[in-house]
Amino acid sequence: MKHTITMFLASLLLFLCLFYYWQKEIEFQKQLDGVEMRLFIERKQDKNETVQTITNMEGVAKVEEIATAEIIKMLKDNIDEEITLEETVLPYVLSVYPSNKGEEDLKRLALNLTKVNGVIDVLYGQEAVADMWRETRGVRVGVATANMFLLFIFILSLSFYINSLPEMRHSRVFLLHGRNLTSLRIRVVFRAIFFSMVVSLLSVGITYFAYLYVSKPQNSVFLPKHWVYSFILAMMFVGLLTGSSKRFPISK
Amino acid sequence: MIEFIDVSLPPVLENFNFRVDKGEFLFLVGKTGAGKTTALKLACFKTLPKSGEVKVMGVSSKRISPQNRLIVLKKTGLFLEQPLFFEDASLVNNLLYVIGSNRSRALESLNIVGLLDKKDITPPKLSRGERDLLQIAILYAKKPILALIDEPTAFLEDRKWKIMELITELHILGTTVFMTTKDEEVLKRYPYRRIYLL
Repeated sequence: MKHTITMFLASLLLFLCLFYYWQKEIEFQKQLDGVEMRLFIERKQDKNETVQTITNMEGVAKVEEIATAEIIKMLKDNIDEEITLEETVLPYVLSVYPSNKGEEDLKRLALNLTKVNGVIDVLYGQEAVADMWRETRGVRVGVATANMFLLFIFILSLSFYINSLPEMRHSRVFLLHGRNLTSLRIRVVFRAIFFSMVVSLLSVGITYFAYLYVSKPQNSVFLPKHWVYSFILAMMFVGLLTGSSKRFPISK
Repeated sequence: MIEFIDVSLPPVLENFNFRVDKGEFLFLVGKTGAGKTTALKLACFKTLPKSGEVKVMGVSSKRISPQNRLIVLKKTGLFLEQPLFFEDASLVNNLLYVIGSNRSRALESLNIVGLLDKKDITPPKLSRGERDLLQIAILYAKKPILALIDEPTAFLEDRKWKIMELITELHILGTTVFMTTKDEEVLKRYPYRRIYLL
């Protein structure tokens, strides 16, 4: 019984880790989607030509011009003192949306953009992006490590569970009477797969109900269906491997 | 059926030779610790000799493999001092696990040994003597070519003759019987060939 509970807890925690990872990924993706670069371009430069050049660059998804009036408003909002700004002295400002948002991709794109004629400066919150990626890497490594450990616990308790099956005791009697152990082996493997499936379904079910009734989510996704199916199938596969790798005790 | 050729398994057996022919009933007689059970284990390849050769149903201990050990055990019935059963299965299922799906034969065998009324209980609920009767029932159900029987009367004063009667009946039905014993009364009553382990 204790092996069954350990198996179930390991499976539940494993699924909860996946769930946590998925929620963090969604959050991260949302943050990444908001990443844009601000380009400041000399006013003497041909704006349309610059936009065209930047649009054609590798790693650029979209380029938008920010109206000068909007720039002035933003500056005024951010500066307490009453100032007078003339449109003609301000640079053009473009918003560049990158297609690849990896930390290195962004650095490379920013560097390439600074090389474009007339570009004065490129700003994109480099430190915030680096922090974001650092946190994401931490979550990924943490979840992977926790899952490896939980999988190990799951396999161990499944192994103990299989050892306690009557089939394992029956094998000695089967051997004594010269009976082939194939039918017993099939039953052991089937039981291991079935039990892994039940435990993983319970884990999914409990997490789902907790998600529905405890966190009361609105307009959010539990986990993609293919993740849930993959989790159940992976657990069944672990059951198959553990069950089929079991050796019957040799008759003494 | 069984042939021991210069079989040695120290410290109990040394250059041991004998044979049991097909259809024969042979007693292996000896005191406790003389090597009777060891000889029985050798005869079903549960143990292998240190030197010499054991041949059972044409299978030699020199060329033994898990596969042909199973072949020998499939045709052999065992009666052990400490029997192994499917402890969580009913008596009838114990027989069915051994012989397959022939339920009527399983019930008939339980009837022969007088355990039919207990067919649905599990072996732990049986007395020592009844457990021995269950072993005999399995022998009847299995109908082996060879029966290896280890001291069936050692602890059964009350049911001794019933057990012996059932074993003799099995022999009459065509099973070769190789039985160990030290029971003088049994040896007096049954005039089968015997060899002594000193």
